[in-house]
Amino acid sequence: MTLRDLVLIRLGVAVNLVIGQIVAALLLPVYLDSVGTILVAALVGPRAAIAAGLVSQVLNAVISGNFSWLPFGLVQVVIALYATAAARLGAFRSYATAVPAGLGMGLVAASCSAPISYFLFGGVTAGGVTVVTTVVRALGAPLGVAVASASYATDLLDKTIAFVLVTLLLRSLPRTLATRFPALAR
Amino acid sequence: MTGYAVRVEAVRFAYGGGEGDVEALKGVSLDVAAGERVALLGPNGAGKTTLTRLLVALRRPAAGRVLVGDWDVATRRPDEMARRVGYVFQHADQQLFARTIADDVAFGPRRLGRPASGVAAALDELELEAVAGLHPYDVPPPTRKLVALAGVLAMEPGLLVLDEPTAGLDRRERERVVAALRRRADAGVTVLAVSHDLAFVAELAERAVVMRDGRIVEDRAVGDLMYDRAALSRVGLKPPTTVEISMALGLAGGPVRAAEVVEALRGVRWTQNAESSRDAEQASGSS
Amino acid sequence: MIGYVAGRSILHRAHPYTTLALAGAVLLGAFAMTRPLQVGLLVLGAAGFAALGGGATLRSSAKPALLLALPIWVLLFVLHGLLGPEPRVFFGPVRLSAAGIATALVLGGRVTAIVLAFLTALATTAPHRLVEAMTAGGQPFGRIFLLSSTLTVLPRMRERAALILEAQQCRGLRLGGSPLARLKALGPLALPLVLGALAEVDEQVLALDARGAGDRREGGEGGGGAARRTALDPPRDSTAQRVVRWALLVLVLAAYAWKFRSMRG
Repeated sequence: MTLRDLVLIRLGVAVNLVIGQIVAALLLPVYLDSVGTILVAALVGPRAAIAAGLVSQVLNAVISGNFSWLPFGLVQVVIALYATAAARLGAFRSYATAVPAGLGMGLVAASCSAPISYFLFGGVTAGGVTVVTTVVRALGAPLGVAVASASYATDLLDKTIAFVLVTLLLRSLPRTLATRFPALAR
Repeated sequence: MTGYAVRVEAVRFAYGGGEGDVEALKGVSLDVAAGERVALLGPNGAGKTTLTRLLVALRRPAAGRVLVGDWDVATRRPDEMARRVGYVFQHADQQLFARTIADDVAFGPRRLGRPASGVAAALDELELEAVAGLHPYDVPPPTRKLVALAGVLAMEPGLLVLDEPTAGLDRRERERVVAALRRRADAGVTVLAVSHDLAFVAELAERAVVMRDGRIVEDRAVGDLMYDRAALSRVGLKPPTTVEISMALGLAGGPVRAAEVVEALRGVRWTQNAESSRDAEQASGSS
Repeated sequence: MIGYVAGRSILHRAHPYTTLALAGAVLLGAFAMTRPLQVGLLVLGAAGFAALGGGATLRSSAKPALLLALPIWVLLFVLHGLLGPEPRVFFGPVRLSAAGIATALVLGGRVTAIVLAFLTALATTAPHRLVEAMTAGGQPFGRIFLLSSTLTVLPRMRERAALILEAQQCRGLRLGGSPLARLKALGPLALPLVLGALAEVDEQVLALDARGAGDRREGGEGGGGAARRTALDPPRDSTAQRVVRWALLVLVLAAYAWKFRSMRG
């Protein structure tokens, strides 16, 4: 890995951790905390994206103190791999491909995080998702169904928006910058 | 274009809002007439930027009142204030995002529903037509800062508030900024600029307001303040080179703008030349 | 406050790997425990670990740990106690699920123990000592760089995001409005943040290169090149500490072996 790759990974991590500030100002019901990982996957490649995802997970814990969510690092690895594959298949070339690819990412991510949430934490994890889980459970659904529906609902929305945003970002790159990312040419 | 008057009445502001926080503004009152060109000077941490943030509702005063024209800022959101106030941030080069410079400059007018004619005018005023089709991140950061200024001028605000508009610019770029701002001021727009750059202030402003420790400590004509070395040094500033030259030569009329100093120097050069040529004559005669 | 608190306790003097291994063992151990009593013991263990750090550490790790765990406890009691399966037991005026209470105790205890253990490790491990230890231990440069330098760029990035939010509002962008309008506002806010950061990448690479960070070639394993920079003053390790770390590994493995055997049996 080159020094440039490392600086880009650091950028991806910073985007993952800081974009929430913008999302919060807009009161959007999503996190978008993997936009940086997806971006690094499209610009550099899978190893860099995995590094960005894992470092984000660790630093998130260091900053917030919520170290119990470290097992969700596995989801970050899956996101990095899926996003790299999506980028290589050209999913970020247009919104028409980014939306279905994002929905697919949501399905995959939720399929990963729901079991972690259910088996390790009994459905009680970070803020918003847990509220949805609780509401669905209060409506009479079994806990497993409540956890799964909350995970799928959040992740489908979150990852679709993330994919559309990354598409917008890649389309907005100035030519001088774009030519410096060989992974983009693929 | 009508300019807006600014009225700041006994404003207090503290960051954090809790007790024991350092007050950034400790009772500031300021009246700026419509069409006036005012420079806001003072050392770092004096409260200059904070004061300007109040004018666009990005900060709310803990006490006191801020008016822009007949609008009480307390009842407005920042995006509403944008209809009257054009605010240019110190690091304005970091706010660009469109795919071409022209598109980026058009963002503000489009948000406000203002005519696109302002875009061409603003690009022209800052001499940016040649780069209008380029990507904002394909030009160097100083040019980006000019683009951001154009984006604000294109919104055709009646009050321009600028935070260090010349920081990071070279002499030529600075001249473009001065020319554009003076043209707006001539059209009646009120201009309020925070700056450490006294050469720029000398070119632009007619009135200087000096702040220190959250208070206004001087409020006088620029021409007057520039010649008051003691007052300037109290806030860590010194006269611009042109004024230093004028002081050293004792130029008549206290010129402040570079062009005025040059004009005054024209008169001086004649006598000096006469003296030096007489010296030369004497020297050659004695040899 | 979360973060390092200077001190002279046994944890402050221990090798950073030992402290982190203790916290890691609590994390892995927590998910091996399935009964309230086991988890209760683990919480006590984590509290003992925090106490080793001395009074200041205990104060700086126990309080935020409890604050972080509190909302989780509340949600657990709602989701599992109130909404849990029959049969019910009475707690004063409320009827709670008996099995749900047990589940909530296990899950809440896990989170509490993990958070307390890691906050203690964070409070007693000076960041520079961890970097020195990783360097001396032959960790790849990339890994050390990412862990140590990313935190330092965050404040600047946050400040930039805040400024972009303000600047675009001054250009007429409204932060509120319909969900679609708020979604559309993401572009003008997120694009400058990322484009601006990308535009600075090459400059940062040059600056790092000039500081000698690039004393390595491409390739290498595990997220970084084969940087073998010398640690200036590596923290001292000892046989006793190595034994402790190996023992923790064995304990964790034993806990899982026991868990899966009792699950089958």
